[in-house]
This record gives sequence, C-alpha cells and structure tokens, in this order.
Amino acid sequence: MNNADDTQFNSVVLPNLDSAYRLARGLTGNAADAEDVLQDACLRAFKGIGGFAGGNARVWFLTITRNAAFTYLARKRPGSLLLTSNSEEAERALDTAADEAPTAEAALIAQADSAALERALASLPQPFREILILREYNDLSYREIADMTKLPVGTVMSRLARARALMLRALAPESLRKTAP
Amino acid sequence: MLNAALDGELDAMGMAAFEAQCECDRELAARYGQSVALRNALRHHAAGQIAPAALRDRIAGLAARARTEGAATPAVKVLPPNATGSRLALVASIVCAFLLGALASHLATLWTAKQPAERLAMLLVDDHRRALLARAPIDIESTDRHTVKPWFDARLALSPNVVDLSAADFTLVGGRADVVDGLPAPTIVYRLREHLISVTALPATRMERAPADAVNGYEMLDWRDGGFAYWAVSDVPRADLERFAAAFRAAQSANEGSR
Repeated sequence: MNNADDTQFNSVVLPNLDSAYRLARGLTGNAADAEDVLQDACLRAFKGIGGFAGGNARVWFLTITRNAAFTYLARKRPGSLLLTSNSEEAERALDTAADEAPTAEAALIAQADSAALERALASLPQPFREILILREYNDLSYREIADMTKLPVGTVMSRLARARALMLRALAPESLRKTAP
Repeated sequence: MLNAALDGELDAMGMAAFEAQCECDRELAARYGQSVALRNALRHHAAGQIAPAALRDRIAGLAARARTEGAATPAVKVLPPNATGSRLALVASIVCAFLLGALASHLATLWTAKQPAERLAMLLVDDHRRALLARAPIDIESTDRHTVKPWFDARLALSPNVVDLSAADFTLVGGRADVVDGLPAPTIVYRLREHLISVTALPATRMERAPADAVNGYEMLDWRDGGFAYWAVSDVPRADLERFAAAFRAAQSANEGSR
C-alpha cells in the first residue's frame, strides 16, 4: 500500500464515515451490526481505493457500504432481504393497502420519538426502507439513488412515495388504524 | 409531484405550480405537511446517528495498520475449537483480508516497478507495426541521409544520427515521426532484404533498457550515443539486429570522428 493510497483513503472515506454509518444503521436496523458493516465497507474501500476514479467520493463509499450491508445481512439474517423480483409483487400488494389507510397528523409526526421512527422504519419492506434512507439519511438525489441501486429513476420515485405513505400510516395512532377499512 | 417537491427535484416553475395546486387542494396541502414533518423527523433522527468515536479511531488507523501488518510475518489466527461465534470468524477474516490486501498491493508495486521498460517496448513495437500496416512506413522517403536528417531537424527540432549502412546491406528507407509519451520521437527506417528495421531516438535521460527477449515476435536492441537512447525494433533474427546495431554504432562514431 503506498502513501498516495493512504492519503486518498483518508480524504475519500474518512469524511464520509457518518453518512455511511447512518446508511448501515438504516439498512441493518441496529448499531452493533452497523459497526460491523462499516468496518467491512472500509476494508473494501481500502482495497479498492486505487479504482476510485474521482467524482463523488460520498456516493462511491456509500455504494460500497450498501454492498457490504447486503453481504452482511445475507449471511447473518438470510431471508430478511427481499429480492428485486418479489419487491415488485410487494409493491403491488401494498398499492391497495396503503392508500386508504389514515395517516398521522403532521403535528403528531413532529413529536414522534426515535423509538417510534425506528419501529416504523423496521416495518417497511427492505426495498422501500432502503430508498427512503438513501434519500433522507444520506440526502442523495433521485439520480444518485438510481445510479447506486441500478433502478430506473421512475422506480426510485414510486418506491420513495410508497415508503413515505407506509411511514405515515405506521406512525398513525393505534385508535385511528383500528378503524381503517 | 408531491415527492418531487419535497425532495427539491422540481424546478422553479414546477414548484410554483405545485404551490398553486396546494392552495386549492386542502388534502394535498395536508399530505404535504405530513410529508415535510416526516422528513424533518427522519433527518433529525439521523443527525443523532454518528459513527462512534471508537469505531472512527479503528478505521482511521486502518491504513497505517495494514501497512505494518503486511510487513510483519503473517500472523495465523487459530480459532478456538468451540468458535465463540461468527464474531471471531469475522475478526479472523478481516485480518486475512488485511494481509491479502497488503500482499496484493505489495506485488502490484513490484510489478509496476518493472513496468516502464516493458511498456516502452510495447509502445515502440506498436509504432513499428502501425508503420508496417500503414500505406507507407515512413513520412519521408529517401535513401539519402542528408535528406532525412534535416527533415527531422526541421520537423521535430531533434537531430539524431542518420548513417549510411548500405555497405552492410542495410538500406536507408527514410524517416517518420513517432510520438512516445507525448513527445515527438524521430524514427529512422532501414531495410534488410524484405524486412524493415525501425530505429527510434529517445532522450538519453530515459532509463529503460530493451528486453532481452522478443516482444510480440519483434526483437529489440537499445544503445546510447550522443544524447540519444536508440531503440531498434524489427522482425529480423536477433543476430541480424545485433549486426545492424554494431554497424550503426560504428558508422556513428566514424561520422563523429570525421567531423
């Protein structure tokens, strides 16, 4: 490993640790797993730093982190990952359910505590949670998310809309949800 | 539209249109309010998640540790028979990954250190082959060295030795301008029977030496003289190329002696 690579690792990876940590937290759902994922992602980034051709360092490192998270989840919790083929089905199934259900009021959402948000996030199917996290935790644009996930921008947009609808529904108070049709 | 507005993916026109729509659609306005609240809540939640200092330190030390561990004797981690879970396996695999990574990069460094000469050889062979494929292997055709040398002078402001080797059966064919690493490189072309020999004059500051073996079937020889490093490339047998180089150098020194 030469010094140029060290320097590049320091300038490409280290400034983006928090962002990557958030992504890992969001994808795995807990802090301990996130640490393992991030460590693995850093190793991968360290080995691959020579292949970093400039451009957006944050997106480059987040892509590696995302891959590391999926590898980790596939090994540790097989079955927790919804693959793309059945995510389309999930999308269709959710279409009917989510739309008419009542959602939490803005004021209520603003007060939602971390635990409630985590629960709501955990209730989302993986493909929807992922897009929402890339957007809200990592502040990536539609185009960046599309490039990273290899999805069409239209799919990114529809999943994001769906993820938000599901979140709003999950955050609605119990009493409201019971009366839902 | 609502999501695009929320995510700042609308242009000014689109945003104005969306706001106008919200004015008259109370339900849309309410949903937009909810979505904004959700976004703010999520962002606030995420802002609290920062990589723990201990993890940050571990990672910051990654580069330095990989270097020193790579240099040390590879430590083989033995897993306890009851392998207290995947955690240990993970640690071991990380250590292995470190060592492998360090080894690979070390080999890569060794390999690239050997690169320049090979790369230059390939470059010159390619130039030679391109010249053979082209309609004319030369830019200036002349058997007269007093035509070829001034041509280089005028074109490239470089003036390598152009010698007459017809006594040794090598006929001067002409010259062409190659480009090596972005710099013009005068190339003199000779003919032996039906074979062409390209002699490229590179700055003598280049430290590469020609490979002892043929590159893609082409023999190469190099020598230094009068501020140039000459590289000869040809498909003639190596013995012929050696004879050519000897004749070239002899004529070269004779030239300088007669001046």
